[in-house]
Amino acid sequence: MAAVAPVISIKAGKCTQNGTNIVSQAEPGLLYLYNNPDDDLLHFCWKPRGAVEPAVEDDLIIIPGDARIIKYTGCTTGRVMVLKFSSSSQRHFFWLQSKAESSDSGHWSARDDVWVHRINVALQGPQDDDEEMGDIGLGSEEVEEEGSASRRGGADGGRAPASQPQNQSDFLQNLISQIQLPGAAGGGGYQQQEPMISLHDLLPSTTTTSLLAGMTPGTVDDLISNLPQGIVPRNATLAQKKEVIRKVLHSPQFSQSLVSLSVALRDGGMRGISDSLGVRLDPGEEGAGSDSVTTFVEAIKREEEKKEDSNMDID
Amino acid sequence: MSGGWNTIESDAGVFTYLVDNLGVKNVQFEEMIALDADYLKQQSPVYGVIFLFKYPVGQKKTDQAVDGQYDFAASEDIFFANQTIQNACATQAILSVLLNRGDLDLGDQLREFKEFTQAFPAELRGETLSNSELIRGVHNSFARSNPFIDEGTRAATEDDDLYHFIAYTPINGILYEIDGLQPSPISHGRCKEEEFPEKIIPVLQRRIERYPATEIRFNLLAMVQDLRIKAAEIGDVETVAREDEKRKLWIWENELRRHNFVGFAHEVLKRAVASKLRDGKYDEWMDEAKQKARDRMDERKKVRGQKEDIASP
Repeated sequence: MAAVAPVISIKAGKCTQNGTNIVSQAEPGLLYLYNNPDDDLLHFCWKPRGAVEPAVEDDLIIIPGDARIIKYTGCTTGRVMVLKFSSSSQRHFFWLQSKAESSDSGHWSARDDVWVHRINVALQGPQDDDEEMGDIGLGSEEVEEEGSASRRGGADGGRAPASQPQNQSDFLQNLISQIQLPGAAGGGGYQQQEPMISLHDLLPSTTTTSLLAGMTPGTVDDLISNLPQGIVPRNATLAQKKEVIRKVLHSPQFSQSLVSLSVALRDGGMRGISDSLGVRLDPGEEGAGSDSVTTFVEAIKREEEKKEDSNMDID
Repeated sequence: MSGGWNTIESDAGVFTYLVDNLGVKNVQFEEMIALDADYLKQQSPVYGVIFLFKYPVGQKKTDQAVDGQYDFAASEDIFFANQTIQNACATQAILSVLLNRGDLDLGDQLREFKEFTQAFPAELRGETLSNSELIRGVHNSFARSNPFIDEGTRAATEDDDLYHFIAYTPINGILYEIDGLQPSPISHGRCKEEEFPEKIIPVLQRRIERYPATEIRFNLLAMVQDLRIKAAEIGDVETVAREDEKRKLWIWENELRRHNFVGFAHEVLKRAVASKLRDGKYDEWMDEAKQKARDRMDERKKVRGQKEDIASP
């Protein structure tokens, strides 16, 4: 997910302006707003659905009260809305990609109207208006994963029962509790929770020492080529190279990287990381969750098993 | 990532090469493990002290100098910049010492920066610092390479406590505390150059005592002259050799800090998996890791015990 939790996230595509015509683009997208804790500003973003963070295509910083979303009535074949600013003549068109709630694809249902209203409330910036914020579960209604059946089935739009907390520390609290209590909706929480393994749990020195001892020169070179060249002596011998690897494996910098990598896998980076490393995931494995490190290692295991098989074929 | 500034580690090797890369000559940092005036004296000349502390969120920011006196007039004469970017604070504290010393070789670029900002008010100085390509570039080159620490993962850390760096240095016969979050430099009284190691200790002690002993974590780095210079003058070959070794280690660590380990980690994991599979110990290995994770969670649960009732939704 983009930065903390989005305030609002809905499925919408972009439209381009062609003369006086507004042309919708078919690409599935996600329109979302979030408060960036770093600059304390509200961001209005659009990205292709399923894009891995931080591949945001549009990122507009919103000054509270400056922007609003208006339903565009000039279109009868789809639900188009326009983002307008009072400080500029800039306009951005988007079309709702959630299935219309009636057979008329241009019909705005009450649900759609609520969404537009939600966005406008958020665009106004934080307010102490409890009534406004407290009435319906603001927010998480439409955070969907790409490819979920609901996109076609029209089952989307279910609202999260809990209301979205408004300030950043509540967001954080919420995020943390979600991470720590995956699937614990039925209560019980902590006791049944599977612990999250970190990659450094898998590489204690007992493991790395025996690994290093049995390494072939080819493997040593593979590993060395993944390290900064500045730390490898020129024309290093095999023993020197092994010593470099040993020191790196025991360095706090490497341990920290393993922790960050584990956190990234858990927090939704699974797909991006696996893709970039060429680790093939099975369908349904890319979701975030506490067991994502295990899933990742299992995927590596499958590759290694395959390699083992093909080696045998060659022999 | 605040305006393109990444966090850097408070570490003598990082700070030493950071000032080196800024073009400053003959300056290094030494970590002070204890508040010990004698130890500090041995490192003389001492240019200043950088004090890093991590304090629990929720501490009220003070509106008045808790210890010492605001010296508003001094903000004009000395380099004092309001901190505009959180992550820049380490570099800002370092500059607060560097730019206030008349006796250091700053290098051309930093000297130009000092002259350029001299006439500016504190806010503008902070702004200029944040926007300096040179300073930001060097600062970021020491950030831990981590392609994942973006907003999302950072937000999930449990204790997002605040780090803050402040600088102490004697300027014009007065011991100043320079903290970009304060309205002006804070004076801690008269202090000659050679008295600094002595006089800074009680000031730091009072500062640390302000926070609950269990809550605060701090780190002290003294900015001193390159230790090899004095050693070479008196023919102390041993110290020179030891310091040379230390520099080698720092360079090594800095290389690793910058390195993106994802590829390496993947290669190591592949090998580990393959070897465990060969030995038929894969499942056992995974179970051991799970046990470790479970132990860690139990440990954490113990610590958080009472808080949990309130925190769970």
